[in-house]
Amino acid sequence: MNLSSAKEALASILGQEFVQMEGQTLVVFPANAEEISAVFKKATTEGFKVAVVGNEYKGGFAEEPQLVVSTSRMNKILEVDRDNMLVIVQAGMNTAAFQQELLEGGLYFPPDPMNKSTSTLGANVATRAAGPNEASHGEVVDFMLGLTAVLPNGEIFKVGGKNYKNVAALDLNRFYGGSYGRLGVITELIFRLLPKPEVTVSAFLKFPSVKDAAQVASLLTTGGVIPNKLEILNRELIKQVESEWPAEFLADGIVLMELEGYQESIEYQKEIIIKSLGDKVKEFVELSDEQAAKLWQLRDKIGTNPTVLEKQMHLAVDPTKLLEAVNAIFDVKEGSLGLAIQGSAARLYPIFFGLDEDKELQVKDKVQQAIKGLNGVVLRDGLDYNPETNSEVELTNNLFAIFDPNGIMVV
Amino acid sequence: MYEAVVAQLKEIVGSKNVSVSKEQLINFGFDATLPQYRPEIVVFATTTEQVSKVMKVAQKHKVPVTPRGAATNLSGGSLPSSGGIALSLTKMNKILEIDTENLVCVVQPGVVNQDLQDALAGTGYFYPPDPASMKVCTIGGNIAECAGGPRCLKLGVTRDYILGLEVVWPDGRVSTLGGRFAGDRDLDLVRLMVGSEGMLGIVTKAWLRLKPVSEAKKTMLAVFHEVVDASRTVSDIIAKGIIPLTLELLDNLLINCAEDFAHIGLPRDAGAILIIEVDGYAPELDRQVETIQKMCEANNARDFQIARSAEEVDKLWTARRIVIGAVARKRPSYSLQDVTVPRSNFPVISEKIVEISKKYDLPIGILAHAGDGNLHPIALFDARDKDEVDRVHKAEEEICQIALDLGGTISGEHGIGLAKMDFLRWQLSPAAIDLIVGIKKTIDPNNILNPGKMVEVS
Repeated sequence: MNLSSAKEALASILGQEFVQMEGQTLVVFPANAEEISAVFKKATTEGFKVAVVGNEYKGGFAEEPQLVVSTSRMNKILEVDRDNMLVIVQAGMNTAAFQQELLEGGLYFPPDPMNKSTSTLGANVATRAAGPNEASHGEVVDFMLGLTAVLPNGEIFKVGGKNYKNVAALDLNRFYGGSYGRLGVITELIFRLLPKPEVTVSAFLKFPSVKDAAQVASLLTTGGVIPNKLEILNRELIKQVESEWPAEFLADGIVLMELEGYQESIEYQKEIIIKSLGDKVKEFVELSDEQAAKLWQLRDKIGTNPTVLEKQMHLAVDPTKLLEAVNAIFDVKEGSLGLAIQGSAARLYPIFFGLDEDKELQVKDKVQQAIKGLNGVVLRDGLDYNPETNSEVELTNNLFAIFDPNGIMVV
Repeated sequence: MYEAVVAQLKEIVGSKNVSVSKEQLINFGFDATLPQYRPEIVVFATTTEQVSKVMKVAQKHKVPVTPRGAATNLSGGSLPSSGGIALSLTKMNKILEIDTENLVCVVQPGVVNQDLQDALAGTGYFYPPDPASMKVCTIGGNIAECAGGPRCLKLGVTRDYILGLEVVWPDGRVSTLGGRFAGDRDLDLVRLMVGSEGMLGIVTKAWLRLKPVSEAKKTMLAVFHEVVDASRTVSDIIAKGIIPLTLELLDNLLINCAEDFAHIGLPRDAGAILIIEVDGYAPELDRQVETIQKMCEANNARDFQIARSAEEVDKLWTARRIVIGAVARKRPSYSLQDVTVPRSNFPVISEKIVEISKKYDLPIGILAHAGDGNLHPIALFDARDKDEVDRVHKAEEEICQIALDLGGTISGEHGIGLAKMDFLRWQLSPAAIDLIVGIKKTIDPNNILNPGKMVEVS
């Protein structure tokens, strides 16, 4: 294969400025599904390995691709269908920009992945992204009604549509959830939407320890109001990774919550929450819009910090065992322990700082044992595809091969 | 040829759980659609291990297996159309765990939906999917069909409540996909299985997500002269930012069928009624009810009532739930369609259905989960009248075509099965159908699990 002649051929399809050579890799920026189709046909003839990215190519694939397809130019909302409360959007659109544009029109796309400021909707689907409100609203994939994708053989394929209910044969829409780019390129998505909540408020609570904060989370989830978001952070985590966090909102245990609903019920929800907290909380601080925006942005920043992503564990326990899980983690703690908790779903993200590699592995192993002792599980996050931890590797690979029989896609 | 197979099956599940008697074969040859077939062997499994061994025997002898629950299937998916084994999961009917505090319950596939609802009653929690056949249908069947019901606009469908599945694959291997905590974010095999119509694997255990019951609910009845006014009301309510729990529509024919049976004082001369429910926190409902009333009045509602007692609510829902059975008093047979259109096209399709009813000289009633655009046109006829049956088939085809022309789907919640196989290629491109066939062949290379359904596998 000859990269420079391939570059010319691709440039004749896409235009010179949309084909770049980076080392031994050609990065292309197609404008639509038809162009991607032509690109894939070329890649197949050349025997290229192909990868898909939402924005720029930063490497990091298991096998080096000769061709990278970026969806970054496919970044627009194509249709807002208010009557049917849905949207058709190009898959390369930035998630945060998408949410914002819809909100301005009174429409709400609830899934709120922490990497939304840099991620694309197509990548959210491919990695099954979700955010702190997953317990109340679900993951990005749950809002999918339809998609258009280009298969690795260049065929353009559409499934689903503008219908809220659709069981016409197997659910190929959601099959793209967790596909990590192995099924070709998603080019368009149809999502259902909700009306923008009348009121959204955020509140902040301080605790003398993260254990106290976790106990409060349990009280809330059984108290009649499950907040839309309920994030718990400890001081150590913030200290280690986020210098911009405002001092007045720092404590050993922090709860950041978000409530949404109708005007009449927001006050009511607050009352129920304050009542169920009892004397555990001295002050329920309702945040101004600016404060809320700032703290949630920092929460996202912590959640997507490269060190955090690399080092954190992802644990799930029954909500009733949340406090026990926190205690168990502290029991095996060595070095300094950063802890984030998604309270409403009882997901825990401990990080051990300041340990050498062997020690860190040992501690993580002890945490794993302790969590299993509580009938919990250790999950992994979906930012990378890792076949070794997939329990159905063979089946998954066989299913991928239906879409990509020549195995040209790399992840 | 089957003698050896029968002997092996008896060894696996015990003699009393295998039958080849003519009566039993007839019993297990039908579902809620018209066609009937005969399996060659009826098998009841009581454990996952038995299901696994049955599949291994079937695989070895290349005997087709059609899994079934209560066989309330409305698309022919549980019909043993290739003969072989009808594998009933109805004896695997234990609720294994209910853990309301953690919003999880674990059930075997043969648990009847209503039995689960009853077990949860009074706990403050519920399992949202409630298909109209809930008194009879099983959770396993609900999963296989991705069953819906009247509350899908707000609460979603079966897919949205399945955390994990234990599955027996066609080769007898057993896997656990997802589980109590959903699972890793890999390729979502759980969602692939939900709605796979018993073609890919047999669900032997399911982890279901529960929801807290809302603290308050209001039920309303709005009466209209015309179907089109009722359907416009539905869009207007949602455009006001209200997502009702239910927006059920019955047209004149079905109002009368329901009233004949239930005698609750439904307006027999009305063009359509809407049963509207909103739920949430107590203080927020009054304003929603006011807005809904305004929308109904703006669309020429001739009457609007708010149910004053639980009894009144029960009566309305009884009328709604029995209506499909109640049509039997009018004519001996019915054909129930399941098309769905984008909600804004609901008024258009309801008018078209009236035209089709006239064109083919068939009474066709409209029952709809109007909030999500899912319609169940019911054509009433006599299966012994060949000419009438032909007209029913033509009407069905035309309804599906119109739904597709309006950007809809041929099935919102009943599945493809046998009944809609021929229509599927109108909706899906050859590429999509090839992928589905590919998935089927990969998981079931010998095509023994519920063969001949959904797509042709060559």
